[in-house]
Amino acid sequence: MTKPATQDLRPFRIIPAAELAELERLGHKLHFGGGQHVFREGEPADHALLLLDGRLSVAVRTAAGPRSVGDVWPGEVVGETALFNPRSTRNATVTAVVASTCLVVDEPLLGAARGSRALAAAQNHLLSTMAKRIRSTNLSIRRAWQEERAAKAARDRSPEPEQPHPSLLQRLVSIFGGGS
Amino acid sequence: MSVDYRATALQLLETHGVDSALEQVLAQILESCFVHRLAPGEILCREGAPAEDLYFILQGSITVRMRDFLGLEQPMATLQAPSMLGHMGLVDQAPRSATCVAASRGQVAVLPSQRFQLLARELGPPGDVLRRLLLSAMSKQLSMGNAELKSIIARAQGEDSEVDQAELSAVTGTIKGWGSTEG
Repeated sequence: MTKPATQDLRPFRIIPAAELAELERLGHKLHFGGGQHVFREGEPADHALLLLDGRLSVAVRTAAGPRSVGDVWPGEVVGETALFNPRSTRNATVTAVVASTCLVVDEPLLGAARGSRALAAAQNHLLSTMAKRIRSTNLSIRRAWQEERAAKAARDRSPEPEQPHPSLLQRLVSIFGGGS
Repeated sequence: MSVDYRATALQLLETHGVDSALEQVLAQILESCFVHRLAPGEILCREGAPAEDLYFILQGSITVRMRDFLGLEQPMATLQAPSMLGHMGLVDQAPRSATCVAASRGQVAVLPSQRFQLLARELGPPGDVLRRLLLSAMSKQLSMGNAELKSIIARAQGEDSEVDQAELSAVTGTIKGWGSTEG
């Protein structure tokens, strides 16, 4: 029997190979060549991907053109907000940096693999990934709110300042790093 | 106030887009929980406190508040029954990220941490329904968070129409996790 690709990934190391193989059989795999698009920003979304092998790059569209916001490594999940969210669209473009293989995680897989240890491990892995991302997003929101309020207060205090205050956008840049 | 657990379970599943065939399984989980009656203004949990329970709102509504960097509590959302809250801290075993206050008289079903951890690892239908509810709830939370960040940036772009577009790009690109969390 061929070794399941998930077996080397941290969240699945304790799951028996036969169960991982079954999970991979139920949820089909997608293969991408280097440079090939995985998701395109704006297209309808109905599944997440667990990267089994390779590397993906994530970019968002900005007024100044596409901007890379990070890479996805084996064992990481991408596109998970599409799960249980039938009307969602992709908000980022994901591209394979090198030849990559992904496991499709969608509603049919979640239903078909019920009772499997491998599925439970995949679900718990998704949950902890999402918890980290929600906390990180909440922190960014708090900072952005704070800056927005500070910018508004500055405008209210002095509508015609002798020296211009930093704009909200400049403040956001200073908070979030601003560099590439 | 009596609670129809089957109806509550069905509504919860439908709200979260989870297979409604699991209605009876979820109803049994709800029924097995301790029920806590809430008075208006009662604090259910405080931001920064250890996360000890998951709550299912059975009746009434609960306001979620988060402290800003000045330490002032800002309302984030008001959740109506039936819904679920307090799950984040149990998933990642981190302190509460928000304070939850009863906005009206109501009832919550309390699922203690220890039982939550057992259920989250269970392979049968009870574990499956809990994990799928959590995935759905957290997926929506993440989408809402991303939408809020986008709207703040869009407002900033409106106010700073003469700002160098490269600056905007820098902001969007450096908000951690934005692109990679999208559905």
